This record gives sequence, C-alpha cells and structure tokens, in this order.
Amino acid sequence: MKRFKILSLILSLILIASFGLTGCTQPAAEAPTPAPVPAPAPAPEPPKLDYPTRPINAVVGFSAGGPTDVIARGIVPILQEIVGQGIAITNTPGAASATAASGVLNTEANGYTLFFGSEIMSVWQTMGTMDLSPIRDFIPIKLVAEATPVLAVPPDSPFESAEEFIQYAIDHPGELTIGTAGPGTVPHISGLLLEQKLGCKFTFVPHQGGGPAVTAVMGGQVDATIEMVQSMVEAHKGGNLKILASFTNDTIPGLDDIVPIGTVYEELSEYIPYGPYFGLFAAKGTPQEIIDYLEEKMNEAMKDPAWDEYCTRIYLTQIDYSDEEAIEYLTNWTSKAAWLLYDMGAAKSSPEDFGIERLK
Amino acid sequence: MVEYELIYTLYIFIGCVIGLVMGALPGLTVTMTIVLVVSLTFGWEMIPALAFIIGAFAGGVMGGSISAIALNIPGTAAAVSTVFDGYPMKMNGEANNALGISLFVSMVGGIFGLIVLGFVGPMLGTIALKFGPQEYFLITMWGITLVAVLSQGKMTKGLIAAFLGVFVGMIGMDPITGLMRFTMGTKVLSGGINYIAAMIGLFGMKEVLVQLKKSKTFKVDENYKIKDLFPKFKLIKTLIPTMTWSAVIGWIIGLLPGTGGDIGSLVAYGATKSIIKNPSKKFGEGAYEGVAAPETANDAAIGGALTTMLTLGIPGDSITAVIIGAFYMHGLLPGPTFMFTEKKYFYYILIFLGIGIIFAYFTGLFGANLMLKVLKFPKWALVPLITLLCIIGSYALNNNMNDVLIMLFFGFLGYIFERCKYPVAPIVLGIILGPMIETNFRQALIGSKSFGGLLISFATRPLALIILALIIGSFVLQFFTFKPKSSEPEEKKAKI
Repeated sequence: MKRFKILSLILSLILIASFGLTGCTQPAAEAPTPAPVPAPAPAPEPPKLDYPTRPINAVVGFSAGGPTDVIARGIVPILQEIVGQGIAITNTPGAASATAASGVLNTEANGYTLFFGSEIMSVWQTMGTMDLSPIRDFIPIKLVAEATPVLAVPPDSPFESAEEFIQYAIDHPGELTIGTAGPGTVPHISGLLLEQKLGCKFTFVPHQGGGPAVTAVMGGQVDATIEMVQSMVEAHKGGNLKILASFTNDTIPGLDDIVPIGTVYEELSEYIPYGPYFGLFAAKGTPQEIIDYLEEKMNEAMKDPAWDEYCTRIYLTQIDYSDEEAIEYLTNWTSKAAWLLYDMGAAKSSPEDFGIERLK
Repeated sequence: MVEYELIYTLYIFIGCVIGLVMGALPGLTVTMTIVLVVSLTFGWEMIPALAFIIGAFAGGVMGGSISAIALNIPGTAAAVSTVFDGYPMKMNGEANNALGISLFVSMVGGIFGLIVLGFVGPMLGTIALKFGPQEYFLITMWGITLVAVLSQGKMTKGLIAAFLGVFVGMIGMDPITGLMRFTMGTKVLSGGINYIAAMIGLFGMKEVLVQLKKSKTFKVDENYKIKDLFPKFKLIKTLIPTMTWSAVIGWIIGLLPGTGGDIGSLVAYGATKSIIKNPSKKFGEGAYEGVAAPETANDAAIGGALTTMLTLGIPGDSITAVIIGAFYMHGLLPGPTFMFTEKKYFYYILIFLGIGIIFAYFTGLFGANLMLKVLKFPKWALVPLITLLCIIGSYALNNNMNDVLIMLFFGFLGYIFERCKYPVAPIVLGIILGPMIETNFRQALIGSKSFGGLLISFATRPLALIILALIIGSFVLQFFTFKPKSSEPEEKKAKI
C-alpha cells in the first residue's frame, strides 16, 4: 500500500513536471537565436499569398480598458472586417508590456501573432526593463495614432497658468510633486523635458498607470499630473481638475481653452508635440509579403470614417507611418526619450550601450 | 426618460449565466469575464451592451465563491477570504450551508451596495478622492494584520509565510523606479508573480497533491436537494450584525479607486474576526461568520466601485476600469460631467444591477447544486479535473505559459508548507498586499519628502488619523476579550 502511494506520487510528479518542461522548452529552444537576426530574404516564388487562413492574434501588453487597449480595439475590428479573418485582441499585461512583446517574439514569425505596441517600447532598453527594441526586434506595420499629454492641477490649486506653475518650481526646486503613469512613461519624460529646458525641478510620484495618476490630481494628492488629454478632459470640463497646458505648439482641435505650452515657452517648441505613439507591429523575420499585405489592409482600415470619428472623439492625433518612415519616426522618438531619461538620471543604462545615437 | 425593454432582461440573464460560469472557473477572474463580454458587445448599442456587462459583473462575483467553497480554489481574487472558512465548512460536511450562506449574503450585500449607490452614492463619491497613499498604506497594513488570524495559533510560522508572500510580491518591476528586481535576468519572472496564479497553486493545486496522498475521498456523502441550499432563517438571523458591517466596509473599500472586492473582503473578514469573540466555530475552522463577512463585502463592493465610476468617471476597481473602457469604445468619454449630461446611464445601471443580482442568486443556486454533484465524482475523475482547471485557469489569466509554471511551483510549495504544518493563506495575503503596501508607502514618502514628514502627515491628514484610530481600536479590542454573559455574542455593536 505504502509503495503504491509513493509510486503514484512519483508518477503525478513526473506528469506535472512534464507539463512544466513542455512550457519551458519553447523559450529555451528559441534562446540560442539572439533577437537581432536580419530578416532572411523572403523566397520570391509564391505567386499568391496564402494568408491569412486562420484567425490572427493581436497582443496588447496592457490590461483591458487602458489607452493602448482602447486604441487597439478602435482599429482592429475595422481591420478584421477588411481582412475577412477574425483578429482577436489578447491582453498580456506585465513589465510595461515587455512580457507580451517577448511572448510574441517567442512564437513563429508567420504573421499570426502580432503586437499592438505603444511608445513604452522605446524605453525598455534604457530603463532596464528588457533588452528589446521596436526597430531591432520588430517590424512596424503601421503606426496609427499619437496622444497628447497635458499638465493638470487640482481644482483648488493656486496655480492658474503654466507660467505660474513653472516659475514656482524654479523658485522652489523639488517642492512641487507631479504624478506620472510610471517611470519612463511619456508623462515622466514630459516632466523631465520641462526640467531640462526650463531649469525647474519637480518631485515625480510614479503611479501604476495613468488612471491612478489622474485620480491623485483630482483629490489633490499631488500638485500636478501629466497625462493624456482624453483621460482628463471630462474632469476638466466638470471642474474636478484644471488643465494648465498641453504639450503641443498648436491648440488641440475642439479644446481651444487649453494653452499650448509651445506658445508660452519658445525653447520647448522644437521638442514638441511629443506624445506616445501606438501601432501594429510584427516580429522581425515575418515574410515581407505578409507585412505588405497587412500594411495595405491597414491603409484601407484607416480610411474608414469610423476610425476618423473615433480618433476625433477621444482626441487622438492620427498618424500614418509605415516602412522606412516608421523606422525613422521610431528611431527619432527612441533617441529623444532615451537620451532625455539618461541625461536626467532616470535611466538605468546609457542609450549608447544599445547603439541609440543622440539626435543632433 | 428611461425606457426599459423586455429584451434587456434576456441580456442580463445571459450575461449573468456567462459571468457565473466563468467566475466559478478558477483563474477566469471577473475582470476577464467583463473583458470577454465587452469585446462581444463591440458592435452593439450602449444600453443592451450595458445590460449584458452588468449581468456578467453580478454573476461573476457570485460565481467566484462557489469554487472557493467546493474545491478550495477561489474562482476570483475577491473570493480568497471565502476559502478560509468556506472550505473547512465543506470539510465538516456543511457544504450546503456554506454555499447557501455565501449566495444569500452575496445577494444581500449586492442589494445593499445598490441601494446606497442609488440614494447617497452621488454625494459620497468624492470621498474616494480624499484617499491618498497614506490612507491606502494604512488600510493595506490593516489587511496584513490578518496574518494573525490565518496563522491559527502558529504565529511564527504564519509570519514566515507572510514574509515569503511579501517577498514574492516584490519580484518583477519596481513600481517606483521601473528597475527589475529578483528576476535573476529571466523573462519568466520579469512580469512579476501573478498573485492569482500563485493563489490557484497554493489552494487548488496544493489540494490536488494533498488528495493524492490521502486515500480518503472528498467528503460529500449526503444527498443534497436544491432546497437545502436555501439558508435557514435562524442561521441568517445570527449573521445580521456581521452582514451589516461587512456590507459597509465592502462598499467603502469598493468606492476607493485603488481597491476592490478582494481587499474589501479581506478587511471585512479581519474586522469580523476582531469584533466577534465567539463565533459559531473558530475562525479558520468553518465559522459561519467567516463566510458571511467576505461574501457580503465583495458584493457590496460592486455598488461602491460603480459609485466612483458614475460620479467621478474614474474606475473604482479593475472591473469598472474595463467598463469605462467599454464607454470609450462606444465613443463616450466618461467623466464627472458625462454622468450628469447622460443621466440615463446611471438609471440603467441601477436597474440592470438590481435585476442582475437577483438573477445571479437563483442561477447561483443551480450552479452550486451542480457543483455539489460534481463533487460526488470518484476521486480518480475529480483530481485530474481539478488539475486541469488549475492549469487552464492559470494559463487563461494572461495567456501566458509562465503563469502555469508559477502556479505549479506554488502548488508544490503549498504542499510542502502544509506537510510542515505552515499555514499557506498568509503567503497569498503577502503577495496581494505586499506590493500595495510598498507602492503606497513609497509614494507617501516621495510626496512628504522625508521620513519625518511622512510620520507627521499621518497625523495631519484627517482620514489617515481616523483609519489609524480604527486600527488601534481593533487591536485594543483583541485584548479585552468580551466574555458575553448571555449566549448572544453578537450583542456588541460594530463601531465601524
């Protein structure tokens, strides 16, 4: 009897271990091929593209309801109609979406697992999250939208304008607290930009995402919060917070009362508008025909009036970059963000270590 | 102003059944259920979509406790504390009572939350904004004192387990600086340890291993009829005080943007433990109060979370965050003004929630009945079934194989702990609360700029002071063991 018990225990252990091992082998097998492998030249012979024959999976690295997810769910259903195959959105949150990205890279690069990424991809390397890069490890199929960060203060704040706020921060370095969506995010970078260019000093309070940062400013837990305009505009209208300025050179269409900070501080104008980007990515190594196919379909999807209306309603700026243009855009963006974070002492490692060059 | 169409009832009902089934399956959290439901409703009109979503919300919360009691696997995070006493009750052969109480008080809690939302919600919504990192820090610290209860007399072992949990919670990305901690450079750990995966392992998978060792079957000998699931009136009467304070606690904690039903039920459990001196059985060994408190609280939290969402346009918990995302998807920007200009959504949500909670109760009865039948399966069928559920559940969390590995690891860890007579519940408590304690403490510290400033801020913030007083009060209460002269231990009126 005793022997049976031991035997059955061992058997079940083996069973479970084998489950575990099969889970392990996938990443392990892929480990020896380091990510920066140039895409092999695709064989030119197939005359007709046999894609997609089954549903596609679009992975979002943040939880449902967040900005990246909301934007993905705006464009993907339109794309799905055009492609004629189901495209499921899967949320795999964790490690500033790097968990999802490495998951995508661990699957076969056949265009059936795509990554819907955002600007945080640009700072993974310098922030020490993971050694992954949007250009080296991914192919941007299409960058679709940019959001606009704004600076807001609590409703009872003594500051009525961005000048007053920044002047106070220059006179009292480190006294004002600014809530951000987390280290290395656009709100953080935007705040650092103010510090670097205007000579003021803030204390940054990182939150677990944009939502909590907005809540914090509404309740006066911080002196200000930088977040995307769509998550604050309703509270601004309702008097639950005051938006002092947007990080743009021109007014946001439909929001004329928000002062563009570029008109107040000329020295900032060349660095802005500087908002997070969102786009559809495929793993490096995906056949070029598939990329071309998806790009073409994305072009169609973005012409849909529903997408246009969607963007207008939630104050997104539409962008339309693919191929070389997208690479150039990403290179610039990454370089700006990485060096700013590094220069201001917020980054873990130098962008140079990853071959990110400083912009002229 | 509000036109109710009969078809909405059907949507609520279907949403409710989906929610209940998914909530009862371990790993499929209420949040995920809502995500699924929201994505199904993409092309719909907003109102029917809302009916569907709210139905799933009510059903999901109800479903989570069924598997907590029956299988020792909390279906959702909000049902963790239901395991503490619910499973022992089942082991004592009181599965029907446990399920009956749990479903009934859930309904009561839900309706309480709804009524408060309907009448005073709009006025109270702004309280949520007064909670800063200091207050969250204190609440979560209060939550972690539950270790004392969950250790069941083995304080040192309980503390060791809790510290292990806190440590595990630190793995992954540092919330303040964004650097990686304790990941040993691996990608598996870079996303941190998902506490639900750990929870499924520690409760569900551990149970499988324990069962493999034992030759005895699960103990459901009697034949239950569905009417056995209606709780006895006498039983409910004794639980009224527990339900009262638990509902209030659950509602308030649901209201806070940073916390939801999971923390609400933990705090309600802790409060009940410190208030009630002689429960029906010892806490952790199958006390009725121990099931009633968390179950009332996690359903009352629905009303609280919706209040924050409706009055401020900010999510009260992760579930309402998804619902707000649904508003975005329909091109509506939720916010404080939105709920005044589009007041009809407020009424629709109230109506849908009311119907949803009642539906959830009755479908829950059938579900629980079905679950009791499943428990009568022979062990050779049941054990693999639970294993399968654990694996699927942990994979489905984030569609990530890493979580399955983590779940298995914690399954073995839980088994070893159990063999060495260490309590496992404090580990879960540590993993859930550790990161919240840390983040809020560090945020508070950054905000007040020095440690001294932080200490002063506890005294200068009125809400922090109140919470501090409540915490100290609950400790003092521990020392004055009220020896009730009569047999009515619940005479002591709650001070919360």
